[in-house]
Amino acid sequence: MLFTSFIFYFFFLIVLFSIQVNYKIFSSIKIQNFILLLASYIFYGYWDWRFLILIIIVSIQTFLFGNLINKSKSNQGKIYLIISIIINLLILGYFKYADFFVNEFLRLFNLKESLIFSNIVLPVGISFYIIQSLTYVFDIFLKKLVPEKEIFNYLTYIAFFPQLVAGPIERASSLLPQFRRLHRVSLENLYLGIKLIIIGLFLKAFIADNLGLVVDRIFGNYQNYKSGTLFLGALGFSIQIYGDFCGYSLMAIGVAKIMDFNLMQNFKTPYFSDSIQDFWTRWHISLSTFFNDYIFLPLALILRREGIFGILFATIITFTISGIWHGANWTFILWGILNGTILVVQKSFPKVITKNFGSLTTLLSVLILFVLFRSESIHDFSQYIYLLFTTKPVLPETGYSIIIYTFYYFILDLILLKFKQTEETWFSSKFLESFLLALMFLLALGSISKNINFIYFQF
Amino acid sequence: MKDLIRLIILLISMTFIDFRLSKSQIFTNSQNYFMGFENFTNKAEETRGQKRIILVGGSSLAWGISAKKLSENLQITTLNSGIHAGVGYKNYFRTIENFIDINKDILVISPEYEMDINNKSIFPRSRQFCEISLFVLKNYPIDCIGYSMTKIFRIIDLIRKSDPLYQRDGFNEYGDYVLHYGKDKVVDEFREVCRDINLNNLEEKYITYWKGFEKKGYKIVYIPTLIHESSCSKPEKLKKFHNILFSNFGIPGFENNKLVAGRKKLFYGGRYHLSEEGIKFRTKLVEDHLKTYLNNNQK
Repeated sequence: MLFTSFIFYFFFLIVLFSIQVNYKIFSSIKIQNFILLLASYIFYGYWDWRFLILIIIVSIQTFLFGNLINKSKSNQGKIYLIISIIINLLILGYFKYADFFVNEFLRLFNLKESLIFSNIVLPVGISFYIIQSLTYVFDIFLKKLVPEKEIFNYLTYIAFFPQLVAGPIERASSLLPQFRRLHRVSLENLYLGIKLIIIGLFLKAFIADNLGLVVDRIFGNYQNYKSGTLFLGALGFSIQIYGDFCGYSLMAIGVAKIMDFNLMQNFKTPYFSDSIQDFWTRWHISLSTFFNDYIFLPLALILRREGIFGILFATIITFTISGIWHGANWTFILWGILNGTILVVQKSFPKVITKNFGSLTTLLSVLILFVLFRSESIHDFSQYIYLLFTTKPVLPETGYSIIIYTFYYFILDLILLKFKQTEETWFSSKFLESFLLALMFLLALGSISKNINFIYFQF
Repeated sequence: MKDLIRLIILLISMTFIDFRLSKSQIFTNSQNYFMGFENFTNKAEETRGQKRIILVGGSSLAWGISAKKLSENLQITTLNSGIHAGVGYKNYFRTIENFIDINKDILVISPEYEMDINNKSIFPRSRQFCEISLFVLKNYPIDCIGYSMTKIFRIIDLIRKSDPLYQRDGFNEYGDYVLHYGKDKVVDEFREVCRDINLNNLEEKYITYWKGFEKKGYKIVYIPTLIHESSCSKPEKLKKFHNILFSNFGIPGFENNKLVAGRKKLFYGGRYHLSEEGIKFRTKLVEDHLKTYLNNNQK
């Protein structure tokens, strides 16, 4: 069930009605969480009900291990933590990486390709809810969190439908307590939620999907284009993936907001960053902070005796893992390594360069890295980049619509999101804000296509 | 509360503007390929009440069968409503339903093999469907709200010159695309078709969909689409697809239909579009099918 589909809003209306009825008549937190859990499982099962079993296994397992870790002494707790991590990573590994790694291993020894794992279907959102479950056991182990007593609260936290399939990845300390209070639908939250959904829908349907049509054409036949068009392709994909993912996150936050839940901000105008490090504090924030808190910091602590080299090594390892998280392909792994390397290189630049050219070098690096992200293979990436820098004319042969959508993105991001929080009133005139929202909604509606999908669902 | 009411009022006003835009002439210029659908609607209006054969599908029909030739040879008016596969199989009927006589017309379906049959949407909108619905049929379906305004904001749609090959004026009065007649556009390599054939949902979704119309009394006949043999690396998949369609809507005696052709000259620039020679070849095959069907039904 997609946030852009008619069926979702029909389903969501029923959920809202049920929550409101519970608030007015029963005032029961248990009933409320039961409604949310049921709704979340229906939402998820709509894709493929078989994978519901998987999410239930992951939830119950981490719930039990959370309790065991809490009750154990430190060494025993560590063992429980490691077991839980291994179980989760095995599940993720089986569904996401088995086919890739087995065949890469066979290829290494010139053996025949195996088809054993080729038919495995990747359960939607698995990378997201497994990470969310892992943060729970990590935080209990680190004594940052007390285990949840009510299993229904925990099951609802893992499966909470607004953020289940593509984040934001919520920490238990932030989202779980919200299931311990009664929620209602207020007019204020309804307006704020609708506002966020409209902005998200606009970013997704009008900007990302329209760009996607042109970008797919350029990337699909990049050999036939020259530098101008290839540059537009890179620019277009960078804006497309932002619109796609930031749009989804905003819709998720908006849907949760209407139900009186607060989810974390996942994007903060990342293309206005002045360094790669800055970029990663503004792009997919919930994932970046996960990697920072649970991989980079512990690694940096372990390698602290190695001084600056330890930090650099920890940075590159963290980004490499981030690349692997994104997908089972060498392009993602290289993408992660290059992100880490550029971050390290940028840090070594003199301050005068960083100050004057930081934004430009960051933007160019991000564009090139997204070409790698979008490419089917490293060969395609290298060819694309080679043609981008060596062919003429510089003026694009096609793809001018990318400039138009980039302009719309720029206006929206610069004026509406950079300088004004989405929850604030954008202009002194409320009429102007409503006018813009109505226009954005209609433009989004007019762009929704039957083939709509979200790029991050594949992760 | 005020904020919400203001937003709702503005939304309604904007929708009204969008509605008015869809009725204006700015999108119906002579270059808009989809306006060629008018030829089908005009002929359909003109022949209302007669016994007719209606070809229902994507551009593999407009660019693949001559309805004009069939009309002459079968002595039954045949109309070609296939203009673009992007319209979507659930929308084909929506674009022609007002022109069909359930008691007299025979609907001939001929699906493109990689059509999207997974779509769960109740309103499976597509750009191509909206182009036809809004600007040719002058309807305002719920799934096309916002489309006209979006076209203006896309800007490029208004200023771009369309492909000289895809012209509104390229259709004949029966809905066949004829602008490329007498020309050749042979491609060396055809795009793969069979890899994306989705057999899992074919029976459950596509067949069920058309069976629904059959139950209501519509006469539905299946005729396979012709592709070049090099565009199908998995002929067994193609055969299965055909067998499923055939067992439900096929004409007995044509079980082993020709699904692929070897001569590149029969095709015009792509895997489904045929050259004039290809159209002649396929039209003859279709004519044989329909003659048998008509004979069987007369008995």
